[in-house]
Amino acid sequence: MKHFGKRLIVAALAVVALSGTALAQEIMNIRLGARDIGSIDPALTKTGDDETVVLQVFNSLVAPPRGTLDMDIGDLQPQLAESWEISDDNKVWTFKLRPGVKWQKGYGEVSAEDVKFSYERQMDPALGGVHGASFKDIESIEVVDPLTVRFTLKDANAFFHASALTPGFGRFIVPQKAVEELGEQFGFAPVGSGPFEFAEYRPQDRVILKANEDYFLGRPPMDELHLRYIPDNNAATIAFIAGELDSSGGERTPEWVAQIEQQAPDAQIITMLPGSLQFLHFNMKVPPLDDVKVRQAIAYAVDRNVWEGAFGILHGDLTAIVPESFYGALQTADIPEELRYDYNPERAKELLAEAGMPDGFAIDAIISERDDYLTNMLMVQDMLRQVGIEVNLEVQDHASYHANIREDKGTIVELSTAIAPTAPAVINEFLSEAAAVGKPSALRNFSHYGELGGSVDDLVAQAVAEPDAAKQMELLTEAQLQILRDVPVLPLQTAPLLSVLQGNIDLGYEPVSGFGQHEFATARRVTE
Amino acid sequence: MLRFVFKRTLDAILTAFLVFSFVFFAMRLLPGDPVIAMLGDRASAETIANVRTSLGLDKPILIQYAEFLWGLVNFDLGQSLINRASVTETMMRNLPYTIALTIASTIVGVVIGVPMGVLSAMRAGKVTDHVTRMGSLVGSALPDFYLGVLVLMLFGLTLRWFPLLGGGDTAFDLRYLVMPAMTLGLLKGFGMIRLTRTAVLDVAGRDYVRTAEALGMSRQNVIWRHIFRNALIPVTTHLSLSIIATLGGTIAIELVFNRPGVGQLLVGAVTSRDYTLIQGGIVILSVLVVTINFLTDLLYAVIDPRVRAA
Repeated sequence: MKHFGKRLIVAALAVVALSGTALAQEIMNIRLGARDIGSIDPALTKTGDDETVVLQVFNSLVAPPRGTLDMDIGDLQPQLAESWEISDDNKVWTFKLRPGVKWQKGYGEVSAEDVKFSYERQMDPALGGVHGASFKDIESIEVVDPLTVRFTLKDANAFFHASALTPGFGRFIVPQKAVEELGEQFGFAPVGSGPFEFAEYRPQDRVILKANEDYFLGRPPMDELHLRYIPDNNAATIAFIAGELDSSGGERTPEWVAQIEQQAPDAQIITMLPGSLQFLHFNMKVPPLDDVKVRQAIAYAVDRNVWEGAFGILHGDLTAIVPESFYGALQTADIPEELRYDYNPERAKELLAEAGMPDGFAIDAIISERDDYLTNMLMVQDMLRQVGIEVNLEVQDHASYHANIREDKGTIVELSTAIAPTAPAVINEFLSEAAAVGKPSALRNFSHYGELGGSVDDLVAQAVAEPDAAKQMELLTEAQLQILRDVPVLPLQTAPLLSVLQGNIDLGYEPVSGFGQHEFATARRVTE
Repeated sequence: MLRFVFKRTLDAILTAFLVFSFVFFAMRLLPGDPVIAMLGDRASAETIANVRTSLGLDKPILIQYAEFLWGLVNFDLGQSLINRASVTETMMRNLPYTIALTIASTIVGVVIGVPMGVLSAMRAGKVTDHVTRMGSLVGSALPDFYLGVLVLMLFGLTLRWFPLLGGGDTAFDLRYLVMPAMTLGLLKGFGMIRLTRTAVLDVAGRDYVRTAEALGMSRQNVIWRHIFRNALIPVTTHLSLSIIATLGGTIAIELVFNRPGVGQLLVGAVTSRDYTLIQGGIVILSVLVVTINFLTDLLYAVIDPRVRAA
């Protein structure tokens, strides 16, 4: 009996030890700054945090090289599509899908029908998604055979891959059968083809994803991802320092960076450009902003070198409206000196005098209370005061501010926002006539450029349709120079997206540029 | 007693109705647009208009109010404007976390506050009394989020006794409940000490206590039969008020410990102007509050029969 007891104990210990090994799951804890899910149906995402989840579960047709936003057509990488053909006039894009890619949870194989369904679904205005505008130039989508799909565009578009096919902004392929079967539930428990599959959602707490054993690019090293909703920055920082989180988005302040460097010295601090583009939009309906000399005066009066000193590694230069790293951007070196608007308060005063306001003027402006908005605006306010322009600020909560600027109540409007990395995308979204606030097709043209004066719509349209890359660049350069002459907006800076990873996490690639989301398909824990 | 219960029930229903009607209209007076908040700043005007129509937000406000009331009659609180989840389900998932925190922190508060208060009163004017009074005064002046961060740093980060953030598998998961309950409980306890002390001293000075003492009743008997029982009335009032305050006031604690709950839920809903979630949340909370008030009234009536006549 004694022996039996001993054996029982040994056996029990062995079982515990074995089960301990079997249960040693590699779990990665990732912080999301939102309070909860909006929707993790790729067609209905509205926030970067929702996109982070989607990026782990779904695939696009093609992608830029990992960790970059390199949209050069020659560098495109296959994802669900293994090869593609583009007609000489850039109007017909044909994709051949990888055979045998499986949908998760037994929903069959990824087919051309699914691709057609995914895009047509987003183009339906009744769906309530916000990504539909990216797909407006699609005339038709045709299933050539079960693994071949063909997009025919209304007009030639050399940028179609960048605006509609690469990951982010809803451009993911979803399984038709699962979407139809699951209905609204698809937004909380999606089914994709990506490296991780949905396992559990705990409201306001976390989304749990588990490794997709059948992933066509190989099973990810991590067994589970716990994407945790932690809105409070302090709480997230403490948890990161304590090691309870492996990855977290950071507070975009130099103080926060210093705190992490000091208290978690092993952590990897990652900045990704372009991050948020920060502009001042001048509402050209509001005098005296309707006068180009006044807008130029403001451009000269704002010392844009200050931002680098104030934000350190959280700053990126923005001389023209399109960041230099974007496809089709005007390079700073190519901007003539008189259009660079280097800080010159004397020139600002001269221009104000020429505009008939030698003593300056006062103007009311609204601004969001959010840090990245308010800090910039207070700096601008102070600099403008030096040349006699008094900006009377009314600070509003973020939701009210956005509602008000959409109703055209802004004068000098500030925006801090991420956008698809091509010159036409930026220009069309902020400066095309159709995007002017107040129009049914309004996007974010708060200056009414193109509607009230100046327009680069034709130049951009020609560039997008132009098959010859050199001519395309010429047209885009001319458009960007014209914008610099008219100053409907004043670019301030880009604020890179910031994230931290524990020192023992290796993502498997180097994130250089992007919209702030990391892919965790190859992330692994490095043993120390 | 029946008439009393009936009258109080009517009062309760009327109060709840007034509260959520007020919330319905107040929400719509707030600046900001739920559709823009929901769609972000990248949506076209067309999409915004489509979504507004599909959510019924383009209807006249009185029609929306009528629909809201009709929904209430049918126990239907609608769907969140932001993620289309059922408001009732969302609330019911979060409410247990807040209730667990409320109950646990009240227990901590009573366990600390009542005995310390009685002790302080019994030793009135002595060193124990002074120390307790000063301690509770300083304690109640601490802001909740600050005390929360202190607790988090000490027991979570330095001692590593508890997981730092989250709510755990269930609302009553102790590993996740202890730190937030301790924070809130301490704060409640500080208030309770002073209140209990005052109540006990007040009763102790009454004629009937002196009479009892003069009649030669034992000290213990006087304390428990006469002083403590009568001192319970203000303490009970305070307790019910404190439970109500906790239900709505867990926001800071839920934020610091990243604990799911009604507070966090409502803060998020206000930020995104999620009208239906706020309305639904307030309906459920006000029903709870009114019920607690109602039960407190009944409890008084049991403890002190004079209340029934009032």
